[in-house]
Amino acid sequence: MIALRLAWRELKNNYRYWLFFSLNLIVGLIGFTFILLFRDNIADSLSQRSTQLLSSDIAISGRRDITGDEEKKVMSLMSSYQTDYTRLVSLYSMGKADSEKSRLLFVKFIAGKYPLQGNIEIDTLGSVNREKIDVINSKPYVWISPEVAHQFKLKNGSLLKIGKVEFEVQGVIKADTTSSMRGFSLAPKVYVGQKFLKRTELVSFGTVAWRSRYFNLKEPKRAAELKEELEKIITDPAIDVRTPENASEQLSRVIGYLSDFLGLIGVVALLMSAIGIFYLFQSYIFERLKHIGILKSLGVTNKNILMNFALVITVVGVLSSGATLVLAKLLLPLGMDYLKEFYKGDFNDGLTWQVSIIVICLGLIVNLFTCLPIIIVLLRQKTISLLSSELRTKPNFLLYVPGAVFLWGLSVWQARSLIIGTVFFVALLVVFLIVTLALPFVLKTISNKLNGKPISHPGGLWLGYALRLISRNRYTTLLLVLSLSIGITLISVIGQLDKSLKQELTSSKEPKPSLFLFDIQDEQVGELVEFAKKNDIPMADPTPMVRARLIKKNGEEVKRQDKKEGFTTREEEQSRRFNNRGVNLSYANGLNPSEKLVEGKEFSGDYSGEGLAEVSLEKRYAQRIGVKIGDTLTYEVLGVEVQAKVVNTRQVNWTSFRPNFFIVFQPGVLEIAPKTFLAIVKKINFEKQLMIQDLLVDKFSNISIINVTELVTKILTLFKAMAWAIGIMSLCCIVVGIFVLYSILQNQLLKKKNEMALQKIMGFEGRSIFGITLVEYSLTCIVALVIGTAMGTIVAYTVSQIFLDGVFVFNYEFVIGLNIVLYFLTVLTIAVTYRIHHSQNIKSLLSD
Amino acid sequence: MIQFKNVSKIYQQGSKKIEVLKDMNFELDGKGLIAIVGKSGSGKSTFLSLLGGLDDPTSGEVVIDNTSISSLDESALTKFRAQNIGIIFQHFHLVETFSALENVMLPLEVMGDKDPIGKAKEVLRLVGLGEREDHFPNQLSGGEKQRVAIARAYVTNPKIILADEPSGNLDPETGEKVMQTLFQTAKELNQTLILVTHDQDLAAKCDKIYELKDHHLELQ
Repeated sequence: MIALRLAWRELKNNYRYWLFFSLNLIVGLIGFTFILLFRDNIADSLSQRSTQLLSSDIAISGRRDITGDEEKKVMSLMSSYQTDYTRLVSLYSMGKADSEKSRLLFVKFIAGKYPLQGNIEIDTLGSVNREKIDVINSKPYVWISPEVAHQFKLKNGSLLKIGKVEFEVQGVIKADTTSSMRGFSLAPKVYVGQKFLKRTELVSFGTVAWRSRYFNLKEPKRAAELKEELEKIITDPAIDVRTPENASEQLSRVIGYLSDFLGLIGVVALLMSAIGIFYLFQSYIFERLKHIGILKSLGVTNKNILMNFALVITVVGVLSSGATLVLAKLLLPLGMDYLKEFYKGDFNDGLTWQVSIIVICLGLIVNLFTCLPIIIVLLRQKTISLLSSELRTKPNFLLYVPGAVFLWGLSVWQARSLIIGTVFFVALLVVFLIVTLALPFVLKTISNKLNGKPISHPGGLWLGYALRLISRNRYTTLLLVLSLSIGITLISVIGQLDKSLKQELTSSKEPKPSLFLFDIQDEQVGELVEFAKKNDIPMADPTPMVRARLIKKNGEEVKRQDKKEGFTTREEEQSRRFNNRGVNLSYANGLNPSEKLVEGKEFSGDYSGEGLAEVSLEKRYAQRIGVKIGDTLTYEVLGVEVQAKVVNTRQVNWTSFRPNFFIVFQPGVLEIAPKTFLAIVKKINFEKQLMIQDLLVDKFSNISIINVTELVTKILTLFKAMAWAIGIMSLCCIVVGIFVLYSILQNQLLKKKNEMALQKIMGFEGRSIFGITLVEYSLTCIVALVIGTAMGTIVAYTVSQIFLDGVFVFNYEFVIGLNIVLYFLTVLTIAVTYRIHHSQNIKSLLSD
Repeated sequence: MIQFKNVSKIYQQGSKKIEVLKDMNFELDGKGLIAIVGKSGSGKSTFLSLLGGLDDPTSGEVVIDNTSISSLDESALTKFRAQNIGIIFQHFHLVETFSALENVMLPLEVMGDKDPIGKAKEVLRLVGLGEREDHFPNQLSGGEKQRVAIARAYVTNPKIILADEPSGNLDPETGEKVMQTLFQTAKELNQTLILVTHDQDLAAKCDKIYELKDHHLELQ
């Protein structure tokens, strides 16, 4: 009871301080909450739409069709459960209209009743559901997306040639519930009737086409159960059995990477808030040492004092979380409106109860983990030391271990990756260690060097005075540098990566090809090479591609990995995807110019027919499937098992846009296997690209062509969008940092009121007092900028080594700009805070 | 010469006006130790703050050596104070991040003195802290801190030293020693020391005692 009464008095008597404390927490929580809601909204929106996205209750799909035997078993099983059934074939193909150049399209060949769930809205036909859909099979009609209409300048009634068939445009797609919120796809979509698939002659051996079967169920709730049954029939992991639940998986992966990274920025915002809270609480509590000493001397137990502060912190934590939720509720609709525009998704701007609970828990945990260690250390001191008010304690780092573990857990949860979460945590820890270990040492050295020297040494009175304050108020300097440098590290990483990625995608060191050709049939290769020579097309030799699936690793069968219930890390998802999907193999003598040997030796030459064949793996693919040099892998190529030993791992520069493969065999193994070919047309001007594209489409209608120049532009646009979102959140993070800086400065200058009054008495003019304050905090800010920029650059360099194949460009324009902006923001903060506090009446130094 | 000409000081407390000094006229000529005594709330500190230029009178003027400090602007007043007045506080008010030597050097350096280290060391020796010059305030006892404050007030050799209950925050024994240092230094440097205290025994050791009573100073 005493703890409760004390807590009430504490809040009532010092409400101003606790309000300011709460404001610090709210700023951090707001940043974090907004990101949580963004992510939660996507998950929610996807789960609502997943049935429509899948367009049925259950679907079987893959790059190969199921076998006759499998089909019999599947249909027999489904006959007693299904109410409806339909099929879909989708593939990439070139399209050509009379007046326009040819372009790549994503063609969906649909049959009656598609989609079993949801609908497609066509401008001329209105909403086309399963009852009306067969109109598209009545004649060679095509429904086109607005992008196709724009690119080909098509109107209703215009003709669009796909493969060997000329389709008439029947309408433009206005809405499509089966569309995903794809941030990026290779080509715009068109719908045509499945009846015309054969006539297009687009599907031949090895063509990249996806075949799907959709079922509606009498009891949709039994979808998961049926999925298990179907997976027993179709054991090939290359064929997917999907329910609405995992239909949204693919989509969430696209936006997932973005929201995972945003999540980490949210963690940083929260962490900076915690730093502000820590500073405010410790400076407040040190002013109240006497109060604690008096309570102890009056017989209040340590337990009650601890309970008293724990109660206060809990109440403030809950109230701050509540205020955060109210603010989020008010601000969210504004943010969501913009996101809707940006990601073209259905966003619900309501707060979920899960988010509310998370925010309240975080408000509490951050407060308790930050403040309780401070109070515990003080309660261990003798009462007499507390009463003297001159107690100096050192933080007990062991008490912060739970907080650190919590931070690590939060990072892994937010990044949804054990590796990325841990790397992020370690990077923060490194910044923390550099600042906390090296900085005090440097400051102490400076302080010692200044001892016995005039105050105006070095560089005049302002600098000399400021240097003494910085080097001797080590704790404050440390906290300021820490909170600022963490924020700056993060924003530097983004700026540096932005330039590196652009450089990587648009690098002119090794010119990227202009066109990328795929689906070239084995028998077309000779004719294509001849055609290229004759028409002066700078085409590189076609590269073979053999479709296969991994069936054994070191003699052990590779089993289908099912998605785990609940939380999964990115690594688990990647491993599941890599183990489940079919793979493309190729063969070559050695490395191409965009590859580099990482480990092992090059191929010994052509396969002699004796012993195991040799295979080379891409470095990260090898890691994901858990294979090392010397291991054996068994692939199945159209029913034939091919066993090979891993002789090396390679690093591949994927953005070179050359035909590259995860798995490359030595020559002499796969030549007789059925295959298709890929080829590139070297760098040429845009006009020529379009001309060649048309020539190729006219002559080889089944060959699909990706325009690499357009693709790079698309990727850059996507990256720009992602960088925008990340930049905004980082800016929020910096705003939190500036707010923390403002809080700390406010507190500092409040403490310095007496010192400023004293400076006036000593003869300092107002200008000089401001000058000293400015130099003091400017220097601190510059140290934080240097550390933050250096750490940001190191992290960006490391990330580029891992993800961008070593391309790193120092973005000096960004670094200089960022440093100037942040420095001026700091100066502004100092000026505002100083203006509020400098007018201290010097008379207050007197005793009465 | 110190002159208070018809000086009044009125504080506004909400809607209530509190008149602390009323038409005070006071003249002090010559060197020596002057004690200002009076009951709590009688206005001793107000008198000291007006004399030190830390506060402005509501009416009237304060003149030191023919300079009306009440009419000086902030910048000129700051310079005047630095050159002519040293102040010692009850709560020491040392710069916590400065060593004893640096605290004493500070006013010298503000005035642009050529040899701040030499002069500060000399005054620190004078107050008996020659061996403690590199120590920081948190490494000094209460008495030592006050002696640093005394050295800091004397180091620029001002004409007037104002001391506000300098032993009020110290135990009697330490207070006694500090006061001895204060008086001795004032005599050695031939300065005017104006000491505000409610301690009659301490006041008795000064050359003159004034009592602040009914808004006016009366010589005892």
